[in-house]
Amino acid sequence: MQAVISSIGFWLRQIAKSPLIALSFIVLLAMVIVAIFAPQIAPYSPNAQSIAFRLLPPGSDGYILGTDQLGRDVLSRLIWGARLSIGVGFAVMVLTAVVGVILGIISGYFGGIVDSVIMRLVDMWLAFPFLLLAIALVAVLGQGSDKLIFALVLSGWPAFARPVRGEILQLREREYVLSAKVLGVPPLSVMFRHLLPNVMPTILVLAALDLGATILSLAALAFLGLGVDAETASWGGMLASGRNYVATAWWLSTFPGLVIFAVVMASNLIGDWLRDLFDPRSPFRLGSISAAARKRLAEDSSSSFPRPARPEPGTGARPPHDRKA
Amino acid sequence: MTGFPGGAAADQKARFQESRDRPPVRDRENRELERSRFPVKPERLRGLEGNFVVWRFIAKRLLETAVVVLGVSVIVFVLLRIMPGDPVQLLFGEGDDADLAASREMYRQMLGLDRPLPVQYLIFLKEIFTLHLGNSLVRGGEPVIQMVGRALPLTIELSIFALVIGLLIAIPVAVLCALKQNTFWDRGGTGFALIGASMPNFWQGILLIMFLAVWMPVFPVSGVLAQHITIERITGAPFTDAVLTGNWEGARSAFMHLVLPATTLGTTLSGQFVRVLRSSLLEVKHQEFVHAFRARGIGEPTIVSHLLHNALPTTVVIIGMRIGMLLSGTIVIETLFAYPGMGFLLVQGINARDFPVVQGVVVLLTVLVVLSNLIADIIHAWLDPRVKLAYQKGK
Repeated sequence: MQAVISSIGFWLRQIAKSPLIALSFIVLLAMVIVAIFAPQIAPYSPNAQSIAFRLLPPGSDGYILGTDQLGRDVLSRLIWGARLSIGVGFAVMVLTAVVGVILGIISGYFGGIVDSVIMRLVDMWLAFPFLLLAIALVAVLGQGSDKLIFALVLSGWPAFARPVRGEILQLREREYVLSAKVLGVPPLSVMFRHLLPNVMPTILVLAALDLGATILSLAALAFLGLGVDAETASWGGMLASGRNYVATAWWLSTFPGLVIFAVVMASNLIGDWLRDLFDPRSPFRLGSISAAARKRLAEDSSSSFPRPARPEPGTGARPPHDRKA
Repeated sequence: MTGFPGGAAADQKARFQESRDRPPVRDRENRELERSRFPVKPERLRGLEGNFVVWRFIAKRLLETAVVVLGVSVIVFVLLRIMPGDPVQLLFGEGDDADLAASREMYRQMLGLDRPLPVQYLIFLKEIFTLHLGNSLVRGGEPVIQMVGRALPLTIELSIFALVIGLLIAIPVAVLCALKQNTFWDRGGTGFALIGASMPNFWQGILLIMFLAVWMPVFPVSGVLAQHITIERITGAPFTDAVLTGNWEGARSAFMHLVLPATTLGTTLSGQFVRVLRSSLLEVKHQEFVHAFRARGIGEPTIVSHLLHNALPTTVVIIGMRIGMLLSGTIVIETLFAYPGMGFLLVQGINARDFPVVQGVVVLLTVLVVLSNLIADIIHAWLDPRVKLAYQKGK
């Protein structure tokens, strides 16, 4: 318990170091809260129509963000739309990660024919444009958030499988893995108790970036009128109907776009931040580097002193110190 | 400097001149290092041996591509035939009239759905390879290949415009970022890239329509051409055809219609390009040859051109890999701008439950992506000697 609390404190301190990252976390957290408490927060029902109040501009009496062409409250629809986007987004993120990581670990750990089969499958999957695959799947499956989740997970899992497999290939030769094997630890336990925690940083980074990508493609699908019916409040769908009123009602397409943009930006920022945090070469990495050391590192990397050339795999380059050899 | 002839000064000057003509020892070491990085000079690789290696690389990639295309065809087939959702059912709707049973059966036979799955798959493969993609179920039975033939040139032209705009934005920004790493400029550039990558492109398109087509009507809202203009068809791509036939009014109109969708796609792409190009420039920036250039007082523009040349191979591969993303983008953007390319056709096909059209577009777009990946890899192999050598070593 103590450990959990202190690690939470540690992460909070890390987050607080950068205002932009703190803001990103706040945006995501706020969206999650809004999504959970949508019925309590939304001032109106998302589908309450009133022709008398159609196309009211923002700031009108009782309608903070205005109303759409059917007199529905834009704010309420945005709040209910968060339910769909955030709900589907997180579900897809978790499921994609689970499927992709399991396949990646199996592929990397066992190697050989299993690895070849899974990796060729990944190659074929990556040959499809991601959105095209999702569109085709949704077109075949029909509407509903369960089908959306299925389609997005099915088209997105290689994004996790391939990098995780790459990490596992390196990790499985480490001493701790070898000794675990020698001690007779069963393969499943080696994979998920010993290897999984060590690829967690990669998974976290991928998951954060995946959330943004998922919400973007979800909005694109809804924009095309796929997977979500016109009645359901969705950010992409709001944009699609707002497109027809660009000339007269700018607020219909501006606010949903802003919300999508904010959420995607937040998850991309968090993904990049996590990557820097875990990357040993980055000056912003995790650990107890003092501010002075970090400054020095930043100066080093920007200075014009030649850095020792890193040998690149397969080029036959020698490190500089045995130049004369 | 040129003051006193003869004596120590002249001697010194001569020595200086000599040292400039002959590379100093330190530089020779550098060149050795360079040679160990690029063990064979590019010009030598154009000889027989190099060509052989390249051809073997290409042959291997072709084989891989063939396998991938075959796998992709299986995936598309499984996706469209085995998934729940019978196309005939979708076509006829939910009503279950006895009268319709006969026509249902007719459609089933017409689509070949009554035969066993492996046979269906073989027929499907044959159809793809002979480009007989069936007939549309909706538009008076027009052959899908004709519809695609009309849509594809439009999409390709739009994509090329988008690519050019993306590169025109990305290259200067990335160079600025890489040269002024960790400064205000760098932050601004990477921030721009992040915004470009996070912004939903259809929203950006709507904003562009709002500002540049509605409030300030500079560009048309949607479509390909102004109504009164006709262009003789050569390639099917309006701008290219207009230029080829010297129809400048048509070219102008086609160009104006292209600007907004291409800019929308291009800025999204440029966000991605900036990130990749910046990091590969940063890797090149610290190599010895750059310091050698600087030390000799070679001008910054020349250095930048060398940097770009070295970062180019990676960028080409990344562009090749992003073609899929670009085409995905065109699906949404073409719908937004009512631009009748492949994406528009696909969405229309889905909405009309026009099964052969959807299948044809999905297959063709995917094959297009696979081929562009292949081409990017081959260009990469030609540009970057290291690929050949890695392959030579690794085989």
